[in-house]
Amino acid sequence: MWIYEKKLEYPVKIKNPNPTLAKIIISQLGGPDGEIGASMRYLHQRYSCPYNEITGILTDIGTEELAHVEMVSAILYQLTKDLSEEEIKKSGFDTYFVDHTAGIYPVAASGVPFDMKYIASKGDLLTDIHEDLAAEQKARTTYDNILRLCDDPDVRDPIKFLRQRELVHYQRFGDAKQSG
Amino acid sequence: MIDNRQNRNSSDCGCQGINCRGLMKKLKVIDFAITDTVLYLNAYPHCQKALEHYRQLTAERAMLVDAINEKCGPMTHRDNKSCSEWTWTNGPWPWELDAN
Repeated sequence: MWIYEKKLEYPVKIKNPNPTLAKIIISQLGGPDGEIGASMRYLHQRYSCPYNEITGILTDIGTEELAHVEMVSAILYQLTKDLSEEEIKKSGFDTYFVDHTAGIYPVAASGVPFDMKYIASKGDLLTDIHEDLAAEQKARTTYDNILRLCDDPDVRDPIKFLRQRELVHYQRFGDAKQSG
Repeated sequence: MIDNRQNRNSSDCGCQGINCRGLMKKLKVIDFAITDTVLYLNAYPHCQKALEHYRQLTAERAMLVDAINEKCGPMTHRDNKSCSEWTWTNGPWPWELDAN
């Protein structure tokens, strides 16, 4: 089961709200290669896993991804704090704002809401591990793209942390593939 | 909305000389080290070096989290230490600027 611990895995402290950036970064929440998908993917794959160590890896990485959902949400929350009407209109954030105000709702940057179709849980260990390796690389690429589009060091810092975690997760799934 | 701020993130040496902001930062660092070590141990359960690292980190963590729960506010809803009031829902929540 899950117990909630009242702290972020890594700090998020963004001094300057920026709804333009929020529109992009939201893809790591509700997009095809975002953290919600990652957590759902690993947490669901673990039930059919025949090896204890790999079940452990899926459980613990899946749980860490939930912490990342929270971090991305914290980034979005701080980027969209206290916006003026002018800022909302100028940034194009108005198309999200009209439906969600400054609430956090999982969509991709394109506006498409999160879809469980983005994940696979095939019930076959080799298949699932390959899915997971690909997923971590897709997430890493998405973070690379965010870094290409973002100058603010307060935002870059937690994004770089999250990107680094994808690389480590990739290593761990590689270990799982070797052992399984 | 009633906003009950815990002293969880105070930087001054209030409350018996406890610096909550500093303690919370230490906890985040240790917990992350533990998370990373756990993922490694899941793949390499017999690695003695990693096991020792885990043991050291968790021992340090136990003392730190006791101090935090006591002086700064509960980390989980199982850690409410105050007999006179329920402090679990006190702000700030982790995504707020004040909490970071």
